[in-house]
Formats: sequence, structure tokens, C-alpha cells
Amino acid sequence: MPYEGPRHQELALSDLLDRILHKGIVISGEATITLAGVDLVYIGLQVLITSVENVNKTPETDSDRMEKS
Amino acid sequence: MPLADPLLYLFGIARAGKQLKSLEAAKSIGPVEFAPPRNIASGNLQAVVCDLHMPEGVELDTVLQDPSQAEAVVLYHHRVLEWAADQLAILPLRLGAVFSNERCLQQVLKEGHAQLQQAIEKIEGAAEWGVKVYCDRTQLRKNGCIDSAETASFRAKHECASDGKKFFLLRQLQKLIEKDEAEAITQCLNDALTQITPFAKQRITGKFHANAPTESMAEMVSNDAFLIEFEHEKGFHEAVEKLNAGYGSSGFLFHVTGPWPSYSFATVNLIGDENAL
Repeated sequence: MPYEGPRHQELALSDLLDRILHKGIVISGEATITLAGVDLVYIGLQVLITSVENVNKTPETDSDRMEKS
Repeated sequence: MPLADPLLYLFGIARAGKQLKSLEAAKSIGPVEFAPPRNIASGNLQAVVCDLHMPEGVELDTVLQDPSQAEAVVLYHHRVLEWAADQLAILPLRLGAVFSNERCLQQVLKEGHAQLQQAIEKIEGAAEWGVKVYCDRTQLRKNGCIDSAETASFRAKHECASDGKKFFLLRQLQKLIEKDEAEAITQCLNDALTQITPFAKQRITGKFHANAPTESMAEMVSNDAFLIEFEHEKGFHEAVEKLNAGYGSSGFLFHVTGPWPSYSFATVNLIGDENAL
């Protein structure tokens, strides 16, 4: 059963962008993404990330690392 | 303006079998229309997708150059995944996976079948929770950070020094205090991991942000994502509450976010087949 206690729904855009743009399944290979400009999609989003990160003055750590507990 | 052939936008991948409840009507963002989400079965997997309608000559990139439209796409992607994750274990796609047709998508699902099955097994029965730790160094110095023997000795030396010498000793004293603070922070974070990890299947360390919850808690010292099985969520939350109770007076704040769709634990990299077209 999922947790039935309080859910923490306040959403910080920086948290969401971190997950939505840097995590999740990645599909690479030109043929799977047939819209010629898909790489540009990422560029477009990078503009957004950069502006959000500038607003937040977000320092970054070393590249993410995964640890199995 | 006439519409181009619809593209297929992929939100996530789950096991086949469970039909998702309907979400809502189409979502329009600028000139782009996301049709209501639907599923496409492929063997024992299903992809949660929607048709993406764009006027001829409009490119998604152009739409995303507008920050408010880009933000709307980001939020919609997340909303659909939250809706799906409430109903089944879904592997979120990174934003922006667009296919020209179903055949290309089927090809990717077929090629990545084994990897995807394995990844779904990992996240089934669990949710992603974020824990960000903030530190108020003023509070830490006041209540939490005890001088090491070296710092205490140096502090005594500094206090007894002449005014001229004090100036030079002060910088060294500050360095020692910073070292003590760093050790106190490390000790706190290690203790936090000891308390939380028994409830977690997996942990991923993320980037630091500056979205501080309060002005004094401006410094983020840790930002982890934990994959927590449903049966351990209560224990996880109790552990975090205990940490806040124990370390709050020393200047630490443990801030929980979630539950999230399992973005941080969907670590599959699928390679498309160049002949799929």
C-alpha cells in the first residue's frame, strides 16, 4: 500500500527540472526520434534550465553518482 | 493553419495489462496540442503516449523557446507521469521523446524489452522520495559545532594574543572553525544515511539547488533521492522526523519532497535502430 501520510506536493521547479531533464529513460539514436529538430528541443529546454538556474543561482555538485544502499 | 501528421509523444513505460483511467481532454500549449494520453501495448509492456498535433511549419523547438510554454510542457509531462504513477509502476521518459509513428516506438520497446522489464521490476511497489538537507551555519556555530581540541587550544591562544597578533591568528582560527563545521555536517549526514537507508532500496545523490525553504537555511548540504518501498514509507518519514527533532537545534533541516514518479531510478538508456524508419 502506498504511504497514506502527508504528501509533499509543493513543487520546486528546480527539483522538477533536475528530474525531468537529467533523469528518466533516455532514447538515443537518430532514427527513433524522427523529428529533425529534436536535438533542438533539448537546446530549447536548455535555455529554460539556464534561466531557471540563473534565477536560483544554482551551484552544481560533481556529476550525479548512484549508490546502492 | 493545416496540421502536420501527428507525432507520438512518449511519457513513460509500464507493464501491460492494467488499463489507465482517463486523464482529461487534450492539452493545448501555444500552437501545440497534446491529445489525451493513451497506451500502446507491446508484448508485456505498455507505453503511455499521446498524439502531438502541430500546425505545418511549426517546430517544437520554436514552441519551447518561449519560457512560459516550455514550462507548461515540463509541467504537463510531469502531470501525466504523476497521474500514471498513481495507478501503476511507470518508468518515466526524459522530457522530449518524440516519435514519428507507432512503428518506431514499437521498435524501441522491442529492442529494449529486457532492460525495461528489469527496470520496472526495480521500481515496482516503491516510490521516489527526495530528502534535501539544509544547514544554518550561524545556528550550527551557536549550538551544534563544538570546538575540536585543536580549535579550542588555538582559540585560547587567540584570546590571549596582543591586538596586532590577534589579526593574524584570526584567519587561522576561522579556518579551524570551518573545518569543525565541515566535520559536524559530515557527521550529521552520515547519521542521516544510517537512519534512512534501512528503509530505502536505493539512493541517488543529486545536484544542489538554492531553493532554500527559509532565509537562514540558505545552504543546501545534501540532496538525495531514495527509492522507498510502500511498506517502508511510514518508517522513512518517521526517520526523517526523528532527524529533524534531533538536529533541528543544531541548525539542520531535513526537507522531504515527493512522492515522485521514479525519475531518478529509471536509468535505462535505449538505443534506437537507425533502420526503424
